[in-house]
Amino acid sequence: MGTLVEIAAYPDTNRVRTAVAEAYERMEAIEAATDHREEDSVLAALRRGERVTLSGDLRAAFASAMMIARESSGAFDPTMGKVVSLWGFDMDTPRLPLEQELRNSLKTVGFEKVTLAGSIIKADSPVWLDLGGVAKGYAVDEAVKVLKEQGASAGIVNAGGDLKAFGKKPGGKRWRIGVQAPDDHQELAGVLEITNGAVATSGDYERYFETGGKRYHHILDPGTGYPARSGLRSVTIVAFDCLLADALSTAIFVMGPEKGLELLKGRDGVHAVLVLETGEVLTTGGVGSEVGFERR
Amino acid sequence: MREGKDHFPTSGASSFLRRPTIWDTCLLIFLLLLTFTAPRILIGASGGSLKAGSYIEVRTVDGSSVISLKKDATHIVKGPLGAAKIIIEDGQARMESAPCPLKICEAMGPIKNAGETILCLPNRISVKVTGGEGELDAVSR
Amino acid sequence: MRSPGRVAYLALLIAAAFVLSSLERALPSPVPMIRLGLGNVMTLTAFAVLGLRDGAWVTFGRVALVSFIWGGVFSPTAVMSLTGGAASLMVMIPLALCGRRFSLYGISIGGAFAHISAQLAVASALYVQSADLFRLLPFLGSIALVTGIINGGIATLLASKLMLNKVPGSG
Repeated sequence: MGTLVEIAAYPDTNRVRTAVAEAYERMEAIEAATDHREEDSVLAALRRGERVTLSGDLRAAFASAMMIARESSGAFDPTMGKVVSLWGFDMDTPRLPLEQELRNSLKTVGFEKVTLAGSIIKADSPVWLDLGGVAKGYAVDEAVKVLKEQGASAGIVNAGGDLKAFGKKPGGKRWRIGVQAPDDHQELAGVLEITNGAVATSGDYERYFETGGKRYHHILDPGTGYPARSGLRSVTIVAFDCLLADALSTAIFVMGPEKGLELLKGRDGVHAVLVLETGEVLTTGGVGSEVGFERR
Repeated sequence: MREGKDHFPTSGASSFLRRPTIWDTCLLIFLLLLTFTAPRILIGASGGSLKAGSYIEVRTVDGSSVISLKKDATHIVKGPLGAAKIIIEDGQARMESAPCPLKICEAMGPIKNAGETILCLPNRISVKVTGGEGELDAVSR
Repeated sequence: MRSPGRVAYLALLIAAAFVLSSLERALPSPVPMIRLGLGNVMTLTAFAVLGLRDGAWVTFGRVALVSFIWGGVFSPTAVMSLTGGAASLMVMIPLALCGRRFSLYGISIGGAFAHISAQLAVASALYVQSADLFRLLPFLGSIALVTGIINGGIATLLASKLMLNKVPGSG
């Protein structure tokens, strides 16, 4: 994930301090398992068309990713690996791909071409999995699980802005989570107040490069292979699980405000804060009632 | 200083009329220590933060307003005693001039961390730093 | 029972305390940020000359008069002076009763320190809702200790002069 992870847990006892260390270890293990860059990794074997068995973590993350891919009709797609590496966003060396390259690599994309049977991935052609859209959220959820199992009564796990909090923090107040404003690292679009839950944001300001006077960000549309242009600057999702929040925020960023909010309908406990290109801030019904929100 | 008793109809009270005693000195030393240690304990216990805030909330008898600490500016705020000048500079706020008699509010600033407050009771003005990551548990980005 | 003479004496001290407090309030302070608290000199003098109970009356009388006459019985400044006065009495009287260990100097600094601490506490609770104001304690507390010593000295001087003339009451 390459991101700074911050964990705080209460009460401050030896047992809980050990739990925090274990939670870090758990997250590192998940990062290693879901990283597609290592040549001897399971995901690399999958790219070469080999038949592989997924480990527990990989299977769990992949299954969740497939579920959200189906629900979002492919706006979120875990088979974007080849396109992502073409743009170089996964290696921190982004570049503008050629039209032809992009068209070829798009042929490898398509979650519907892949099925999961037990722990085995079935596909007719090589699969370029990129679990970047779910791995961080999954790791956060697992870290919280470790903390709870080891007796922490409250805590927060924050992996570079995708986070999950649980329990009552000291003083009994709700967790206050800032939502970053798109263009200024110092400014906030608002502040959310949650009790138990996860918050994840997808924004076009996180990773991008500029070339030929155009700005290219890292949230790629599986339909076109290009950075999604849907009228949004950022999507922040509040959900019970960080994995869901993480993947939904990406899907909604790609789908745009109208279709995106449609996707959230009927999902209990899932809330959204959208920052539009116009600077307008849209929120779903539960924001301001079920979860607190102050605009800035 | 110790006078003869015959002058004092209220006999017991006269015993206060002396030079400072050893007890007075002990009390003075104790209070001096308290003066410098108590604030740290009290502010620490009440969860004082050391994280920079991004707004000030200015409260007067007329109401309150929120002003960004990010932009340098001079604000004139009216109180019952008159106009007070609040200056925002380099993310800090201070009471530059005030019409109150003791000017304790001028001596209080500058403030910049979330929770820090300048209070001018005679002129009924308070300036409190809020916002910023100081009061946040995390920022989603 | 107080004789009419003692009542007059008490009234005189309250009046003097009121005038001194009013002057401090009305005149610009010679040194910014510093208020001497000369009103308390009269309370201390009353402790020595008339007794503790009359000393308490001097404080309450002064606070009441200042609040009534200078406006706003429930204004923040009136609340502050009542708080400060009550707190200083709550420290000064026990000190005075402490087996005569403390002179007017000690009683005075105890009162001055209680005065400023209580004011900070009440202002924190009523107007700020945090203990942040206590960062002023090293500064204001030190000043209070210095003015406490000065006031103790003035009160000692004044009380011994007054007692050379007979205080009415018993004779």
